[in-house]
Amino acid sequence: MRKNSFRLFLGILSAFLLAAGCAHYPLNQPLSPAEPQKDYVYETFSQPAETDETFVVLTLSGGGTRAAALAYGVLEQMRRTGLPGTDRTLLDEVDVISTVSGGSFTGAYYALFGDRLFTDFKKDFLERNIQGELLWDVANPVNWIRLASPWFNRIDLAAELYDRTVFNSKTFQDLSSRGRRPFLIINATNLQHGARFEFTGDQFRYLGSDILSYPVARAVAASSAFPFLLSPLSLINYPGDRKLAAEDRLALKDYWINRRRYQAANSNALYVDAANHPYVHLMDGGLADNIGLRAIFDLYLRKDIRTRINDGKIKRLLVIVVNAKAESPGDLDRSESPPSLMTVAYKTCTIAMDSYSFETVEGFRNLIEERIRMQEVNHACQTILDRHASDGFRIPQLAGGSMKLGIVDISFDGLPDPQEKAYFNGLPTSFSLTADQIQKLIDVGGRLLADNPDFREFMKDAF
Amino acid sequence: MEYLIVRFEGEDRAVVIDWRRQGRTDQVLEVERGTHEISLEGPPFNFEPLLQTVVLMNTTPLSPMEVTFAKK
Repeated sequence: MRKNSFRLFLGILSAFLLAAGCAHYPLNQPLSPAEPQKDYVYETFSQPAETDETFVVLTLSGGGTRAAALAYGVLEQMRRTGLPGTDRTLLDEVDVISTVSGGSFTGAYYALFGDRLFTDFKKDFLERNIQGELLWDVANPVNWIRLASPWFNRIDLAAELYDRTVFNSKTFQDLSSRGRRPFLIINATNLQHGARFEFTGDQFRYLGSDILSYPVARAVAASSAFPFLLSPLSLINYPGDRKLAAEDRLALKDYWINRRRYQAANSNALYVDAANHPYVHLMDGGLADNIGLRAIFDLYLRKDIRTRINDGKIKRLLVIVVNAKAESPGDLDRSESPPSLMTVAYKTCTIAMDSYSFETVEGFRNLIEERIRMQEVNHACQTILDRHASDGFRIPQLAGGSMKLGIVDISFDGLPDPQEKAYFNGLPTSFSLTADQIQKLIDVGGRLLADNPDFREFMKDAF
Repeated sequence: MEYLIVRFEGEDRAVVIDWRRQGRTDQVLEVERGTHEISLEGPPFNFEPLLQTVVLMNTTPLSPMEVTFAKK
C-alpha cells in the first residue's frame, strides 16, 4: 500500500515537473529574410490627404487605471472638438500615440479598434478589477504548475489575461493592416541598460525579430510590468548578420558633440551584438519615461516628424501630453519623526520619475519655442532687409515655413480647485478603481483639455 | 537644432540626410547637432561628390552650414 502511494506521489511529481517544464512564454519570431513584408513603421501608415498638414501627437502616461481613464477622457474631448469649416474632429487628426503602462491600454485599444473605444472600453477594461482577476489567475492551481517553470512568469499570466479579455488576440499585424494613423508606439524599459524600448518595426529589426506576429497584449503587459508586482517580460535577440542603421553608425561618433544622439544609438548597438545580449528583459515603460514623450523627442529631432517638417508637409504640430501623475500631498513635514520605510520606498520610486517627466515636458517645450523663435527671427530679418536694402535680397527660407506649434501638458496640477486637485492626487496607482472614480477621471480629463490655456491658444487660429 | 543649406548650382533637388530624404536644395534645413552624411536624391546621379560627411554645430538659420555639390 505504502509502495503504491509512493509510486502515485512520484507519478504526480513527474507530471507536475513535466507540465512545469513545458510552460514557456510565447516567443517573438525571427524575421524571415525569404519573405520581406510590410513592416510596422510610421511611413506605412497613411492619413487622408485633407488631414495631412496637421500633425497631432498624443502621449499617454503611466498610472494604472487612473491613467487609462484620464486618457479616455482626453480622447473623448478630442472627439467632441470639431475643426472649423470641416466635418472632422481633432481626434481624426491624431498621427502618433505614444503610450506607457496604464496609458498603453487606452492607446492600444483605440489604435486597434477606433471608435469602439467609446462603447466598449469601459466594460472591457476600465470598470474591471484587473488586479483581482490577476490574483485569481495566480491562485489557480493549474497556473501554479506553469509558474513553477523558469520560462513562465506572472507577467505571462497578465499578458494572457489582457490578450483574452481586452485585446481579442490581436497582433501588430492587425494594427498594421488598419493601414491608417494613428501610429501606436508602446514603450517599455530594457532592464539591462535602462533605455526606452519601443514596440515598433525599427526596434524589432534590431532584434532580428518580426513584430507583426507579436501580440499587442504582450507589448502592453511589458509596458505596464510594474516592478516587484509583476515580473519582467522577455524577448529573444536573434543572432544574425545585422548592421547598425546609417544614422546610428554616425551618431556613435558624436559622444562629445551630442550626447543624447549618441546615447540612443549606443542602446541600439547593444542589440546588434546578439552574441553577448541574446535576451531582452523588459519592464514598465515608466522606468525610462513615464509620459511617453521621449519617443516623440526622437521623432522630432531625427526621425519622421523631422523629415515631414523639412519636406514642408506639416503646417500645424500639436503635442498633447496626458500625465496622470498623482502627488499625494501627505503630511511628512508635519511630523518630527522621519517617514516609514514604505513611505520612503514609495517616494524613492516616484520623486525621480516625476522630476524626469517634468524636465522632459519642459525640454520639449524648449525645442518647440526654439523653432518658433527661429521662424520669427527669419521673418524679422527679412522685414528689416526689405525696409533698408534696395536689391530685393531674400533670406533663404527655413524648410517647413511658418508652422504653428504647440505643446499641451494635461495633469492634475492644472486644476484650480485645491480640493479637487487633492481628490485626484489621492487616487491610487492600481488596476481597480470604483465606477465613480473612473467617471470623475473621464470628466476631468475632458475638462483639463478644454480649459487648458495652451490648447485654447493653439486652437484659436490654427485652422 | 542646427541649420544646413545644400546647394546644387541653383538646381532644385531633393536632399538626402543620413540616407533619408529631407527637404530640398536652397532651403535652410533643421538638423540635429552632430555628424551627418549629406547627398542628393537620384537618379540622375549627376553630382559630385556623391556623399559628404559633415559635423553640424554652432550654426543659426541666418548662418547655416553650406554644403555644395557640383554637376558632373
